[in-house]
Amino acid sequence: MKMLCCHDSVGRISNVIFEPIPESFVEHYDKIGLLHVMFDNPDNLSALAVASLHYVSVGQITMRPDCPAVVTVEGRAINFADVPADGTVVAVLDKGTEFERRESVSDKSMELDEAGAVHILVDSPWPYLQGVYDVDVE
Amino acid sequence: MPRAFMDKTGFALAATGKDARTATGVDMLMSSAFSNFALYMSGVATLVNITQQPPGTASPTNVYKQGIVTFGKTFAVPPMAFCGGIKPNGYVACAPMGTYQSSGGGNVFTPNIYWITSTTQLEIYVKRDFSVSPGGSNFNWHGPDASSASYYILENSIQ
Repeated sequence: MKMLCCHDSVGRISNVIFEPIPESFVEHYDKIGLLHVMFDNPDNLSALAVASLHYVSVGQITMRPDCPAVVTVEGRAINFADVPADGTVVAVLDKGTEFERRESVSDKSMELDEAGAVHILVDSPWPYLQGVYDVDVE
Repeated sequence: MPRAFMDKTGFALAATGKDARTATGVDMLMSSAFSNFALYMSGVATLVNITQQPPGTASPTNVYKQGIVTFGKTFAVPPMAFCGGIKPNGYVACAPMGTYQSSGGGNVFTPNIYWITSTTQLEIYVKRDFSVSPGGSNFNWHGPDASSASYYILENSIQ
């Protein structure tokens, strides 16, 4: 199904409109300066997948790049490499009956007091996808 | 006694045994004089976190996500819309109300999702999962955890 994708100046897709698209739609968007691109959708992606996993680059719907961060565990230490500048790391520690949240912007490692499962989210500058890592600290 | 007729004002179809030129109410099955809601547009809007308190809510700030859909024209009156938040598993959540824990310890009802239409755009607000811990106390606003929202805009045929 073809889709009309509205986006901002850095390619964030704000709205995906399904066919049938009313006449004069595109003309109206051009008139009010709302950026948009028609997507032929050859792989029949869902609108959710288009809006969340793609962006508009040079007028084309393009996959957002994966988060380049690398997460490794050494003992009780979790190490972060290749986190893009201005990236944010959030670690959620599963303590069985409760969760502890830790946030770091520039640290390259995180030392934990106890063993357990840790859910890590790395938010990088646009257009990177959010990195999701699940590790076990022993 | 015609059961149906068509003239310059449109089309009408009356119930069996009724005159389409004079039938009213339940005796008229279909008429161009009635309001008919046709699908104008549909799609999926991306939701982004907002820091301001949405209009019409008593909720604190930082609790909602917002999606905006710009129509392809200016309507004479704001059109009817139906929306649902899309959860990460692809399910569409339309549960209208939820609770949050107030500073007094009780639960306060607040919309999980609501939307506003003007003549030019649709604004969708979906409550997000959010918590703060002022003074060591936890306050949680559990929402549909949606990153986008599906929507349908209906156009009234007689407006």
